[in-house]
Amino acid sequence: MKTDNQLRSEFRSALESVTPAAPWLAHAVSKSLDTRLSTKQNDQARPQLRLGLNVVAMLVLIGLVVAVVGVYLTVHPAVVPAHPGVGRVFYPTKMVTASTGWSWVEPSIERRSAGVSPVELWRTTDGGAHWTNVSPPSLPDRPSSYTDNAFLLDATHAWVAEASSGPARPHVTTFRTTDGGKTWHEGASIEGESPDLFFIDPNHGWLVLPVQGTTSAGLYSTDDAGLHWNFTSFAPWAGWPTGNGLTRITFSSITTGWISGWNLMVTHDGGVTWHVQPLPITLPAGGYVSSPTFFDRQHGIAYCCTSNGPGPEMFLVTSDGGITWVVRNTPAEAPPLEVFDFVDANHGWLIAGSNAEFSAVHGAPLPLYRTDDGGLTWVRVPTNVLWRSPDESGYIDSLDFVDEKNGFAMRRKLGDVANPYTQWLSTTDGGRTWTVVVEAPRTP
Amino acid sequence: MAVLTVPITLVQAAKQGDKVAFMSLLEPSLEPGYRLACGMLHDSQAAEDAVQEAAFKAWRKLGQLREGHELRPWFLGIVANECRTVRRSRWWSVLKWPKSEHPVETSPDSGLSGIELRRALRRLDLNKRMVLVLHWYLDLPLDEISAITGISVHAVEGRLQRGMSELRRLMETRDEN
Repeated sequence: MKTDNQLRSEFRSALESVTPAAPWLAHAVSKSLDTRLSTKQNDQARPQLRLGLNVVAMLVLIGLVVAVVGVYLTVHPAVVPAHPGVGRVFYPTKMVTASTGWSWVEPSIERRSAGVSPVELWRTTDGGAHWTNVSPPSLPDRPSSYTDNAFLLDATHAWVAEASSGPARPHVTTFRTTDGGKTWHEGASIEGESPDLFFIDPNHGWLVLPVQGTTSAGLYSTDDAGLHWNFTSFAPWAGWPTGNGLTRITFSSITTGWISGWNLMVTHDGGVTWHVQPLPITLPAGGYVSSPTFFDRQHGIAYCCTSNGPGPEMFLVTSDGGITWVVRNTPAEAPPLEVFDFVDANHGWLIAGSNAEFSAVHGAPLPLYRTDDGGLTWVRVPTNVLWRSPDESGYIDSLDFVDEKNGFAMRRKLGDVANPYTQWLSTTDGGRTWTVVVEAPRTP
Repeated sequence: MAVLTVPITLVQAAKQGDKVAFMSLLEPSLEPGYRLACGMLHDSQAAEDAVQEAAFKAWRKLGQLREGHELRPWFLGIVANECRTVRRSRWWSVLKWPKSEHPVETSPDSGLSGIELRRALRRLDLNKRMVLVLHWYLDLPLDEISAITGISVHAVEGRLQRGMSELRRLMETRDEN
């Protein structure tokens, strides 16, 4: 097994060997620029005019199409007969019930190039058969604004943090909906970027704005659903690579919360002061603790420990509000962990597979495991789905159970294959039987 | 790698058509752009073409660069789009990949494992490959990668995690075989 540093070193060497020195590059670029600019200025009026007319005609045509589509969309809400993540880069969905859920979707590169917000919020009320774009409108006075973070509390309450480079300094503006995205209320705007949001109930929440180039972040809190934000403290916020990709904030009550990262920091005064959370393990080099998920004030679970790739993997579980934590192992025979989800302190699922299983003969499925005792024991769930066939590059993007019976999963097939696809699946029997809700080729 | 802040006067001069000012602004970003293109395309000639095309587009789009903003992420974003365009074209996928593996090996320690790693890297989708090259090869911080790719830092982190895990598995699968 290669260490992270070995892999990174090999990565660098492999690419350096296809990057010969190019001391002439600046000269070549300058010369190329001269050539193309002079070519542009030469007497090529007719072709340019013809090209110009063609472009104008094309633009008029596009304008007409856009106008017609725009009028149509004004009359008909943007409901699509498929999961919005199908065909696009996709962020994990949060299903709240068997019928209602949210999805955070990144539009295709082409759409983003056309000025569409990099992230959109979509919602379903029929178990994923149809989805509606419920993103708040971008602020008209800040054309570069884009959705940068969202927090989905329940079926109707959600917040979106919209980042904007703005005319001067970057700002973050929060929006709140209480009706599933039909209407949005604009909150206060705060200077900062790369926001992280967390709400414990419809009124109380926190907004983290990392201080660029440091390992701290401005922490703001609200008690009026994000209409106003009050500076609370500079919180420890170690981003990658000094922290890792799972640096997040979470709270189990108005006063008690955690920030995950290389270690777990805890606050008992609403974020004013932070301390290191004692844990029952010593994290390995490069290890991390994920942001804990709390099912109530007492019961929570976090995942750890390696920063990437296979390695010691386990859950940390608390049943006393985070005062003490105990280790619960993942199924011993099945590292590395692919995805997991717990619906309460007892019931959880995970998909994992050993290296042998990853490279097994075609048809060998990755196993789905289930626990009914908070991770003390895991049993394989026989399923009717190949979670990943080994001759493909692909992965399970999300595993999202809403109760002991009902769950959803996103399966993606990727890489240099002829027809990559995404599948959105659902189960109503705790993971034994899965039905494809949506399957579609990926957008080229 | 330090983030380059654009001197406002040079930007203004370049926007007014001063090519020397434009080249002065652009030059520190050319080498990272070339490394990015090599990392994505694995072909130095194609990479040079991509950088030249990106430079021309940067010249034409310079008005879109906001004063006080950083030039390098903006330019690397254009280079990244050029690489995507090259990768999408059919001739590239049909002809270039098989050819590029053989003549470019120049380093004695980048033999078989380098080829295997690049093959594994090419099996990643473009978005993950992009963040891996930007972070591991160009040593760019996540916030700059976020600016280049147009997604949030969290999304960059997620892609990086998945890209690393996927790359490792692809490599290990080959090792075991």
